[in-house]
Amino acid sequence: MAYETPGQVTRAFERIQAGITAVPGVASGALVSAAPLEGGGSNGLVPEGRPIDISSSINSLMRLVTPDYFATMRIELVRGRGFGPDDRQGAPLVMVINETLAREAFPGQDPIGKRIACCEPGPDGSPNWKEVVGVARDVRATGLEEEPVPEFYLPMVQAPGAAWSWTDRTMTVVARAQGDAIPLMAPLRRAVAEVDPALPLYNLGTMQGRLMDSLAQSRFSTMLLTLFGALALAAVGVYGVISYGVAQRTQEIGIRMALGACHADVLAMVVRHGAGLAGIGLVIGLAGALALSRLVSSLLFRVSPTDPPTFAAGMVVLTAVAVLAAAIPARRAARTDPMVALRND
Amino acid sequence: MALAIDPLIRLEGVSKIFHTEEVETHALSGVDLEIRAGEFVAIGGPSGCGKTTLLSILGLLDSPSEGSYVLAGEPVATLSAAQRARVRSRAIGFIFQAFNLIGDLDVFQNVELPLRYRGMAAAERRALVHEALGRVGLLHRIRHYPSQLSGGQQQRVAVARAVVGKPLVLLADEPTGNLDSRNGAQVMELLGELHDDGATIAIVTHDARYLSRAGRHVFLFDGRVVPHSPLDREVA
Repeated sequence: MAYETPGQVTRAFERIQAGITAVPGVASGALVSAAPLEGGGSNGLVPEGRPIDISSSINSLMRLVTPDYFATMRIELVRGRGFGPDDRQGAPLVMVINETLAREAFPGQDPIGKRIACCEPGPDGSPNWKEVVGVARDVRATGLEEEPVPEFYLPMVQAPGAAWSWTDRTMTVVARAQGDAIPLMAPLRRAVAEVDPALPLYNLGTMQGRLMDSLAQSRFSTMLLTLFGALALAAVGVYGVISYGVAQRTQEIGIRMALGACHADVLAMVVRHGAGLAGIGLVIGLAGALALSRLVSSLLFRVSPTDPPTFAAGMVVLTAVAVLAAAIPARRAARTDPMVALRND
Repeated sequence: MALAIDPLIRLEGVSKIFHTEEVETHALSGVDLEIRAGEFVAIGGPSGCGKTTLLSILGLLDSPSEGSYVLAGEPVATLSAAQRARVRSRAIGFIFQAFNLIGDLDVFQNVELPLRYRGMAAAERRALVHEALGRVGLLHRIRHYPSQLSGGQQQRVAVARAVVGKPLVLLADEPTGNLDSRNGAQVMELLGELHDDGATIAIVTHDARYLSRAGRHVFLFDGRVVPHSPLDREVA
């Protein structure tokens, strides 16, 4: 099937929309050029009343949507309306903007009915005005940690011709399931294939999964921070215990030195003691880690919760930290004056 | 344990000065002392006269500020800490007033400690420890811990630890100071037997009852060796 004109592209996507909403178990379905958290292409918008130049433009993310998009994604329209069947090619051009864009474009004013120039010039090179018919709640477009940015929505059927090249003729299918979403994956694939078997439907997943993915980086950072925090805590703990032990054993160390122990003997004895403590801790920690491994399995990617090389690496690192932490008090112990053996207090 | 080199110990002009916050304390001043192999020397003197400092220098726990120390023909006054530790483990046996056994180690482990620091093989260590404990009559306590022993037994274990490596000289710092008279007498009896077998012993003691065991008395006063002491006359 050829998609040489914008009309052919639009019609194919409309048929896909119809197909997916007909899938049993789908409560509602829609298409969007970039779903939330996927980012999107940006355009410079100029609100009516401002000079038509780049310095007046507001950089905003554009989303082409089918009419049921707001209902399917449960994005509340705080003012005005969404898109309907009347917002077709040839009808007055309309747009829905988000709250952030509304505040930036029309501060302190009602944006409904106002016009915004965007996307491409009109036929005679004049501004291509679109009327604001609705204001939608802000949606975090690029990630949960990012503040909302100005966004505007256009009806897919009124998409500027150039928009299809901006979006690579790619749309995201969004569907709200009546129950579990996972069983719908295969029927949705079939619905798209029925429109055109050559159209690839890829990167299927739930919105919950997308949310988890968007948090992966921060979770990874948190995990790393926790890991290094735990390592630092382990080092401080071993250092404290060994330091205390060395202080308690000053007399004993002096006796050993009086009996012929050299600095290296004392150093080795204290580090050995630290390594022994670390060994006990490692055995307990290993048992605990194995017992709790199922709890972290959802945080892991391409590694088993009981991966032996990972456990081995962790043990090596912790042992090294413990030995290093023991080395400082060990050096102090090695400087013990053997004369303490002759003092009787 | 006796050695052909005579004297076994020679101190010449040994001084020890401690510096603390701009104050100089002369613990020993120009001490000359010779101890022959097989001799039993008692070191006496009032508190603060420098007995413990002298013992620490004799035992290579400390270095003199001035003077020379020759042990078994080798000058040892200026050895490094590591070299002194090596000589201590081979040539010197210590008996302390407070026994100084290590509470976490049993009798066998305490006695074998100096041998471990020599790097001696386990079988040889075992034989020497049994021999030393047999000598002090405590083989039956070999797996006991110090806390399970009486004071007298602990000091006998300390004597076994001091003699186990057959050192050139035994240095004892008030070895009866923490013992009752019966156990004190037993320990001194033990030291006497070791001396009879040829051990060279230098002992610091205040107790006049045990001085008769020593063949020679050295008296310190204000960090100097003095030729005569009232204590000498008491013993005589």
